[in-house]
Amino acid sequence: MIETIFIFGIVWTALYCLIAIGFSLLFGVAQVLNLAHGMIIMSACYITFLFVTALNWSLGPSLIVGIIATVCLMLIIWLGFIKRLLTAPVTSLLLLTAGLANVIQQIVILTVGPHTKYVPSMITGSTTILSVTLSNQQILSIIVAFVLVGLLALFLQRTRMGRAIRAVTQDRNVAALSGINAEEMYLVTIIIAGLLAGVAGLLVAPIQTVTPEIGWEMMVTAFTVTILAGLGGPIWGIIVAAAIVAYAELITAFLVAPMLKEGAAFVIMILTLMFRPLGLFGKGRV
Amino acid sequence: MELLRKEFLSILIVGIISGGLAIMAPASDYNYYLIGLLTSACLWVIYVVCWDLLAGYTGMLNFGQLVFAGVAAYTVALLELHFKGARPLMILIGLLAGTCSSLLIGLPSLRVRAKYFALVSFAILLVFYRITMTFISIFGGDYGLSIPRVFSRETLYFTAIILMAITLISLRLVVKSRIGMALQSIREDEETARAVGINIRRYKLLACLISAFFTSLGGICGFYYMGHVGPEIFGMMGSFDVVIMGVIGGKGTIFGAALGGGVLSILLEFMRPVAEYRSLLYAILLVVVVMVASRGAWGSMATLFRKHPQKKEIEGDLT
Repeated sequence: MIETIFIFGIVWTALYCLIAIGFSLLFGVAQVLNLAHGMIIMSACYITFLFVTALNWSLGPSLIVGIIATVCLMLIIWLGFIKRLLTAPVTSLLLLTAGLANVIQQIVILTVGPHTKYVPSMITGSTTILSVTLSNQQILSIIVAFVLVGLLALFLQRTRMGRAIRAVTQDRNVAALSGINAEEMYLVTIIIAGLLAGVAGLLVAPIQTVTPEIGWEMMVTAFTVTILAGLGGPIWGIIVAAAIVAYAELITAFLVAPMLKEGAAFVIMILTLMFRPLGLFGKGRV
Repeated sequence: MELLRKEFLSILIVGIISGGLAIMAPASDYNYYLIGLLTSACLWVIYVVCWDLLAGYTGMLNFGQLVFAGVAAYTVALLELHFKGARPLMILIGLLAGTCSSLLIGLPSLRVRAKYFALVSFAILLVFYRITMTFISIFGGDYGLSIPRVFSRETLYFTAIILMAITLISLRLVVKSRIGMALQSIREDEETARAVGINIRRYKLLACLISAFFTSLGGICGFYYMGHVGPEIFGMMGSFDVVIMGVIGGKGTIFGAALGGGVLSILLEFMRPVAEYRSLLYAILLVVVVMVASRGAWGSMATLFRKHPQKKEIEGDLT
């Protein structure tokens, strides 16, 4: 059992990283808590599902369409809605994104139906590690997730644009003084967030059963990981936070009840907010 | 006393509306359909107004308002089923449980900015839903808990009206008092509020407790009316409806929220034929209202009818 928890913990750590990073980046850079983030990931699952089943596309092109559609969705939400309310009070922005999340969820329910959907695996077969059998799909998820996170870390650390994004995260005004166009950086962040959300949706879909409700769960997970890691911290901070949340959820699921795994995330969220509101690796103010 | 005199007009209006509602029951010859509709409308008004105290006045956007009602209702249901005690005592315990459940959202939000509150309230909704679905032997899972009818429908109808009137008047008095001023200053700028000597933590907790107290009252009344409480009270939909009603009615005004709750909950009934599009419609409406008229119906009307247009607040200043 310990092996099972250990191995599956890695799978979920990888997925939670992908789910949380987009949310965390956007929160850090633009101070926007995007409540629609989980729903965007969920819609990536469904778009792929639709292309595979309804239009009989093969999986490869459907995946690409899924990712592109997610990025487009993110851009629409950003340019059409969030951007116009950036200077409005925080509550307006939260209400807006929550409303958008509900619109997305309802559209999915109306078009595909509220029932559980199964998305086929990208690759078949399974491998046994430490007497735990993992499907190759899950191994692929781990690899893709960590490669993407690594690339993102490189991008943020090494490139000029990545540095600019981090500068905006730390202090928007000082960044503007040194000639960084914050608006541009928001846009880049949105595209990255959309890309990661799309990939996260595609990787989660074959592993977890997909219902329109998982959007909310993903959003809560993303938020928990984000505040546990803290804003403005390094990328590996998010990996550590994702690992803590993933293992806490898995242990709860194994020892108490599978349905209560969100409870573990909730306890982590509450403890973080009460005792370390800056997060484990966060810098700056809350 | 000064406050009571200033608010005399609004108290009078609330009294007249409540009286009118109360007369509706005998006037319609105790039509159960109408009574049911109006009872649920009254309860919605209570929920929305309590939400408004948190979201509209304190800036704590609560996406899980019905958690308080749900905790209270489940507590009373469990007591009714397992411990045949004195009923007032059971109701009191339920009320206490519902009120204390707000600490689950309130306490973690004390050290952080109000926007985190929204996310915590989302999570708490999810967790309570999961708890009711996991411990089926206690909470009845999907079916929830049911009890035989205790109070007659008429009694509960009048109770709901009285509760609504009490809630409206007390919250109106609260927001017009020093407490309300403190809450609004927290909403506008926490740092400034702290700087002028407002104990932010105490006022945030106070707002949570007041809001949860009245919501629990509504929840218990609703439980006795339906004779049933199920996990759907912890669903995303119900609490989100509260948010939508509050925003469309106009948050930060108490009466605007009450208007939104009353009108939209009765509208729910007429939208039965297009039930599957209802949620989508409400969600779109929410987005539109937030984008275009962030002060809701009440706020927009107030701007229209204002005598001195030059005093018009900057858009978004009041939200």
